Amino acid sequence: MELVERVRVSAERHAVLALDAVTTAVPRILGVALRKCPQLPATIAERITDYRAQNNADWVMYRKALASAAEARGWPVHRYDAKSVFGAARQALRVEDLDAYFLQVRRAVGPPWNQDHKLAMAAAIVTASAAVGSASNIPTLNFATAAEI
Amino acid sequence: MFEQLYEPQKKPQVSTAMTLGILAAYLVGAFGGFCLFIILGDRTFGIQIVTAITYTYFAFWYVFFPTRGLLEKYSLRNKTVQQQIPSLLAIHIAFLIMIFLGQTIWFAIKPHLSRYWATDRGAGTPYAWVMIGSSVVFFFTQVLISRRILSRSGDEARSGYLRIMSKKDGIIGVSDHGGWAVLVTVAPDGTLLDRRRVELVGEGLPKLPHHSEGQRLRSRRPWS
Repeated sequence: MELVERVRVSAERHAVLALDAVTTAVPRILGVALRKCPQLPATIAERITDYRAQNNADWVMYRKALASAAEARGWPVHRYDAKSVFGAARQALRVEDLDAYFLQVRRAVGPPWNQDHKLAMAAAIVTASAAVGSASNIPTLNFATAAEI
Repeated sequence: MFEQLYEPQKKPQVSTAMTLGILAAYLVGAFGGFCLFIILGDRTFGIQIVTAITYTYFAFWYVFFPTRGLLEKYSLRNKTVQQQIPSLLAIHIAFLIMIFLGQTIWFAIKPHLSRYWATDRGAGTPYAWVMIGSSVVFFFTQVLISRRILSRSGDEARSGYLRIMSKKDGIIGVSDHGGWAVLVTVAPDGTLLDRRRVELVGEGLPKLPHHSEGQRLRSRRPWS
């Protein structure tokens, strides 16, 4: 249990550093989209003895660390469902083929561009779109070229 | 340097099902208006009341649903549209009052008009055509004003949002894993501003501590 606590403290510190790093590139952040967290037993002891909770507890710990770091900066934290976020992104972008869209992004920005990037970008797009409601879906789709990122 | 991939504006598309649905609504409205006219036409202010009901029904469809030349659809579920409902209602009530008064005055002066106005010229009397024509003009004036309000409020919401969220503003999307995560920051217009992989735990520490501790416990108790 002491080990879990040490990692949790380390995760919180690293989450702060991670968000610091983003703000050097994008100074004004208006929100963070994180995956939904499953319910867990209340104590660490219960989590590590329950096999199912044991597997989920690590992801939840990192998400909570990032959420705390974001909230400490006053950034709203939005939760997304990884299963439905791609469909929602397709609607927000008003495109039929999201894969084709991400392929174009990949061509423009270059590697690394994998499933994690797609998921994170879809979540950010959906969050941005939800902030203004369906009347104002994201009007255009632009992205910076690889040289700019 | 930004590369634009998609057209910024898309013409709204009206599906066949929606077109048929709207057509059915118009037919229902026309039939309902006709029935009301038969029932209430002879009563005091009956025509004015029937006009107000039918007018309201068609105004709703013409304002919020696509029709020939006015293809934009405004959903009542949309917050921006909902915010405009009070002003749309006020405009509608003002138009209804004007039509009600206009019709009442027009009916009152009918006995004092010359025979020209009551002479049937094959397709109705000039008296009837003035009343119908002015109602149609009122109707489309209201529809265009209301649609203009809705369109402008949508534009303002978009531009207001973009003002609040300039290109330097971003929302971070996170895809997390055990001990690391990918952060992608996107501007409101879809511009990818930043992407990075970040470590979420210090070196030498296990990335999945709950799992590690759980496994350690199990190895201590091999019977469990």
